[in-house]
Amino acid sequence: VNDSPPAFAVRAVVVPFFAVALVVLAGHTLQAWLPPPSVALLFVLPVLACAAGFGTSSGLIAAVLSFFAFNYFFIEPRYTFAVADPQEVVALAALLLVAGFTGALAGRMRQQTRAALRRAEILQRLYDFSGDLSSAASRDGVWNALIAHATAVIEGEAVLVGWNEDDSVLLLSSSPRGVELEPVDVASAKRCIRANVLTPASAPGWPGARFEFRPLRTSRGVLAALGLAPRSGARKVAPEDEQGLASLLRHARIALERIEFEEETARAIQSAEQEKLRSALLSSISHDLRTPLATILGSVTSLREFGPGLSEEVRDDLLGAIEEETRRLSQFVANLLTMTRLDAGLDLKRDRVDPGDSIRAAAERARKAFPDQVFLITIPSDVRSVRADPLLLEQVVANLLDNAARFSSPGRSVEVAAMNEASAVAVTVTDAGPGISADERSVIFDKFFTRAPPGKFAAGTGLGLAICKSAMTAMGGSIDVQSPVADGVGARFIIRLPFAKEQDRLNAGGTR
Amino acid sequence: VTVRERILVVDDEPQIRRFLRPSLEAAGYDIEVATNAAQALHDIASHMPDLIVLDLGLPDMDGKSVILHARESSDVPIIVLSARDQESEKIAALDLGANDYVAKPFGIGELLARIRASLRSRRLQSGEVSELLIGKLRIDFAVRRVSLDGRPVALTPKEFDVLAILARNVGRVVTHRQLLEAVWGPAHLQDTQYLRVFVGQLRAKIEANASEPAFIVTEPGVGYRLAEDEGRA
Repeated sequence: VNDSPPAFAVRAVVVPFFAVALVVLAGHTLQAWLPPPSVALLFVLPVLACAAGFGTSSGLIAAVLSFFAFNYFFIEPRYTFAVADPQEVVALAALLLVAGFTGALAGRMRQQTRAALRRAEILQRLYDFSGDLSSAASRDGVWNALIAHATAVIEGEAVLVGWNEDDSVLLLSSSPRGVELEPVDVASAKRCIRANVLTPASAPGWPGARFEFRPLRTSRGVLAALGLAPRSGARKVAPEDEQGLASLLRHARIALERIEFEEETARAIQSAEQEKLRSALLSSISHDLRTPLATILGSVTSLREFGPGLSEEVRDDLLGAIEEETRRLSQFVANLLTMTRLDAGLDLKRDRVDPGDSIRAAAERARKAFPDQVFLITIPSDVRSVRADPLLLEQVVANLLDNAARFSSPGRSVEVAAMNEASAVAVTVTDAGPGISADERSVIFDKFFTRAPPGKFAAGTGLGLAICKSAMTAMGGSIDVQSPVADGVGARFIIRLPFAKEQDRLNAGGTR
Repeated sequence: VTVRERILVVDDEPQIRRFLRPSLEAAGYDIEVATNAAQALHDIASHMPDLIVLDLGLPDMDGKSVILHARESSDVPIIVLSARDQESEKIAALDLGANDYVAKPFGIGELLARIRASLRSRRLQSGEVSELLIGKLRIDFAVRRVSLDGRPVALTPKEFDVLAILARNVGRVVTHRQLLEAVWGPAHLQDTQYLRVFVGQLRAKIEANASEPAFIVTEPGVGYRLAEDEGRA
């Protein structure tokens, strides 16, 4: 099978001569013991062997040679082609008939065996191909698998040509890598894709085209053209490879449609996610704006309506409610704006910032919002400057303090500390609240995850920690959480920001 | 000695309860508080209040189920606190039998006016009142006669029915559905256009300026309300 055709053809002709000569010798040696008809039987052997080994033609050559050799060497008068006994003519005729029939039969068997082997080979290749395709996660994977297997089928070069947005062609894949396409090949590929037809290499009007292109059809039309150039120099793909190629293209089509479907599913899931986020944002906004507003308006109108009729204590409490809710609103609005800014990827400053400034500013806000909560702040004097957006950093720390204060246990302080690490400043915010379970640790940074502290305030907006996470990522830092901290309770959030570099501009202090 | 009326406030937001309780007490009511639907149902079952102020957004159950439960055994006035973006919720609550609604955020005066109107209309509904004077508008339920500033106003029977229902609920919103069902029957629940025509005719007869009605106020998308005093909603 691996022989090149010319050498094979020579052997198919030469071998019968040797085989028949061998039988003549054997017959000569054995004729003392064998009657002439048995010698004739010996001549079936070379015919069978040649037909099985080299095909029907070789078998037929052996049959004719056998006929003459038997006549010449074994039929009286010997060493002539004359026949003395008329009976021998019948024997000779029988030999020719049997030898010819055997040769034809054996030759056909050989052909069928070869075809079966070929089919098995194609099946194996298709099997390998579908294996490669089912693991291909992208179109590129399909292109490469298709090219690799098509090359193996035709034993030559293969290219895959697709479209660009601007109607120009694009070489998707080739084997060997980096095949250069001539303008005629490009034109042929274009015609193949546009007209959805096979464009032969030798088509009239495309005389120079090296590749034969066939369309890769999918439910969305022709995606690409598969160009093939057999190494043998043939202008056409061998007919016995056609079926295999058609199967390759069919499998590739199925794989492409599967990938298309997967992408569509992923897109649908993503847009459903976004829809969910949007509606969560909307309900968060409507709830988190309305409740403080309702409290403020209700408290103000109560004071107006009943002012002197209310006790000093009640009046104070209503004023406290107004103040608290106004702060809550302002924090919520700040978070919303920050989130919008981060989502849109807008104007993030990368300044040289003293983390102490941001921490102190955030702590001041937290002390006003939680007058009863003790905040312990530890900032060493040698703490390095970091690269950050100063207002964003303050917002992150403020959110962490707000969180810590809401979950803190009564009488326990919230601790804030900054320290230099190898290449970053770490800021920790530690509370002695109930802590955060492992399950919750995986979702606390998700947008709109909320949990109400036991029996105290209402749950938060579900934006604070999500903003901390996006803000730290946007600033090139990180945020982590540890829980419990000590004695099975408490939570500690750690944010890290890289040291400022020499070229970072000094921030003059929150001017914006 | 007059007995103070008892109001059950059902709201899960501590900040809302924080101002509701002192102001309603200052207005002369006894206040009971429930922070969820289960507690509210328990309170209603054990000791029926004179009025319920109900937030529709409760943590454990839909606020509407509280209305359903309460309506099984009583006609206690229910005022719903609703959000502006919960239009359909609000109408569903009214159709289930809530007496009125106040949209958040609200001034305490608005809520108190609704509370007074609901408590009064309960007395009107019970038939204790046969005649009602609203500003210059006098409605005599017994003889089905209406007069404006002493001069009789001629109304068709259907027009009188519409006005009578609004009057018995004076100060309270009456939904399109409730008006249509009471005056035209359950087959005409969708005919809001029909209702609009009747209200237009009614306004032409009793309003000083029909394009700026002082008596019959439109609640967009919900229904109509007969103003308590001329020129004040």
